[in-house]
Amino acid sequence: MVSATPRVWRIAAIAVVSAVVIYMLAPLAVVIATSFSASQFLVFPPRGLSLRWYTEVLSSPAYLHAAWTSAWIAVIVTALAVLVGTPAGVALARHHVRGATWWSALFLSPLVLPVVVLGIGLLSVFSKYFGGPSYFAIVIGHLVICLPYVIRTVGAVAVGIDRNAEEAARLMGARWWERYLYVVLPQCRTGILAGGFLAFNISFDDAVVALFLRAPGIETLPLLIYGRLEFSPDPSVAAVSTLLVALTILIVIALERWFGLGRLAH
Amino acid sequence: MASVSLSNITKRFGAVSALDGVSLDIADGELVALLGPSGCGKTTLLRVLAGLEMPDGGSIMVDGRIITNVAPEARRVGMMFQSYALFPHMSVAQNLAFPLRMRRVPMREHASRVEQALGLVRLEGFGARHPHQLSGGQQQRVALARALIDEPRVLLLDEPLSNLDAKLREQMQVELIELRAKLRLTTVLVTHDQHEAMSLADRIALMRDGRIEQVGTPRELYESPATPFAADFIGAANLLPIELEANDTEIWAARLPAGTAITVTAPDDRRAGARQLVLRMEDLTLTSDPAQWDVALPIRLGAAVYRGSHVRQRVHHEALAITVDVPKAAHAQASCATHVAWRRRDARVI
Repeated sequence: MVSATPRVWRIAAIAVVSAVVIYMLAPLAVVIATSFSASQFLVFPPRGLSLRWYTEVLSSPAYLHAAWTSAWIAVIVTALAVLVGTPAGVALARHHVRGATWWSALFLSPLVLPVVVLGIGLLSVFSKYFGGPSYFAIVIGHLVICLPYVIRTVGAVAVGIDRNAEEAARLMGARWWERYLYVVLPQCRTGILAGGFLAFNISFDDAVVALFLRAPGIETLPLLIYGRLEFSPDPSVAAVSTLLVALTILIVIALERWFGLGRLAH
Repeated sequence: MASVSLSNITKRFGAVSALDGVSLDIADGELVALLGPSGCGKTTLLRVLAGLEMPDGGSIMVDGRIITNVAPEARRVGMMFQSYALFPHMSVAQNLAFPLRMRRVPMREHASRVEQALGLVRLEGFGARHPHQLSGGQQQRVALARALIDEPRVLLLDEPLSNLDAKLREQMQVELIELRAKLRLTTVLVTHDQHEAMSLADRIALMRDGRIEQVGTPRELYESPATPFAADFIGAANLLPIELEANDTEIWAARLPAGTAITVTAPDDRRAGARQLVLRMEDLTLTSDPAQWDVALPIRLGAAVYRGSHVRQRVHHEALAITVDVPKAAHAQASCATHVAWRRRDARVI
C-alpha cells in the first residue's frame, strides 16, 4: 500500500505553489491594471477606467519612433544571431571541434557575466576603435548577449540528431554543404526558431547595453520607458508595457500554431 | 553488381586494434555475412568498406579497381544502418528520392523510381507518410528501399533485423531472401545472430578480436568448424578435451579426462596429443542399448529444459557435463537412458 500524503503537507504545498504563482504574476497584473487607469499618475490601484493612455501611446511620435528603432535593431540582431549561432551550435554539439568545451565556455560567457561589465567593456572598445557609441555598437552589443541563447537552443536540438543520418546522406552522394542544408539544418528548425525568438526578445527588451552604447538621439523603447519613469511617470508607461506583453503572447501563440514550438522533442 | 576484395585491412582506435589484417574476397552477387560477438570488428569492417572509416593499412578493391582512397559519396555503396537513419523531416517519398536528387537523376524519373522502390518492399501508397508514422518493420523496409533505389554496386546491411521483434524478424528474413533472388546484388551483412547469418548468407565470415576466424558456407561452418571458437559460436556444441593417439588407420583411439577410452575419426591434420572433440547437441542420443553405437558413455541424468520441438537434457559422465538435444518424441524413453551415444562420423576433432 502506498500511504497517502498527509493532509497538512498537501495544504502546505498548495500554499507554496500559489505564493510563487502570485509572486510571478502580480507585477504583470499591477502593470496591466494600471494601464487602464483614468488617472494622471502612475498609481495602484488604478482610479477610473479608460483607454486614454493607449490612445496617448499609439499617437505619440516618441513612443512609435522608439518602438520602431527597437524593432529594427532586434530584427537585425536576430538575423545575425541565427546566422552565426546556428552553425556554431551545430558544430559544438555534433562535431569534434578541437577544444569544444573552451569554445562553449567562451560563447556562453555572456550568460553568466554581469551585463554591466559587458556594457563598460563594449563602450571602451567602441570608443577607442570604432568611433564611439552608435546603432552599430548597439547591434554588436546585443549580438554578444543574444548569441549564447541561439547556440544553446540549436545545440540542444542538434545533439539529438541521429549521427547516422549524415553518414547515410553521405553514402547517397550528398556533399558536405548538401548534408548540412538538407539533413542537419531542417532537423534543427525548432532550435533555430526558439533561439531566434529569445534573441529578438532579449534585444528588444534590453536597456543596459543600449544605455552604454547609444549615441545622443538614439532612443530605444526600453530606454524611453526608463526615461519616462524617471522624469514624468504616467500610466502611458503601463500601457506600452501591456502592449509588449500582448505582442509577446501573440508571437508565442503564432509560433506554437505554425511550428509547434511545444513539440521540441519531435 | 561488383566483386569486392579486401586485403590485409588494419584499423586501430587509439590503443585498441579493431581490425587486425583482415582479408576477404566477395564474388559478384554473393551475400557474405560478417558474424561475431560485439566488439569483434565486424561493424568497423563494414564502415571501412563504406568509406566511413579510413583503414590504417590494407586495400579495398571493387571490380578490380582500388577504392581505398575514394570518398564515401563517390563509392556508390548502398548502406542500411541499424538505426535505419531515415530523415525524420522528410516524407517516405522524399527519403527515397534523396539519393536520386544527390546523384542528379533527372526530376521526371523520380516519381516512377520511388513508386518502383516502394513496390519492391511492398509499401505501395506509403509515400506521403513520415517515418514516425510507420511501424519498426515499415521503417526498416523504407531504409532498405532507400539503400537500393540508386542501384548501388554493393549493398551493406548493418544488423538489419536486430531492431525488430522475433516474429517480424523471421518474416523480414524471408522477404530479404526473396528480394535478393530478384536483385542478385553483392551484399555484405553484419550480424551477431548466427541464425540470421545462416539463413541469409551464401558464405559466413566468422570474426573474433579484429580477425577473421573462419570463412565458409553456413554448412561448412556448422559441420566443419576449424576452431573451438567457431564450433561454439555457430550452433551450440559440446567441446570435450581429449588425448589423441595416432595410428595408421582412419580410426584413432582417444582418452577423455576421466580416463574413458573412446574411438574417433582421424583428424585431417593427423596430429595426435591434446585436442578437442566437437559434439553437436542434436547428434547425440540417449540410449539404454550402448552396443548398437560406435561410441557410448555411461551417464547420470541431470536437469532438462523443455524447448517445444526438443528437450535440452544435461547429462554427466564422471565429472564431464554434456548437453543433449532430445527430440520431443524420444524424450519419454530418454528418462531411463543409461548412456549417451553418437556415431563416430558426427564427432569432429579440432
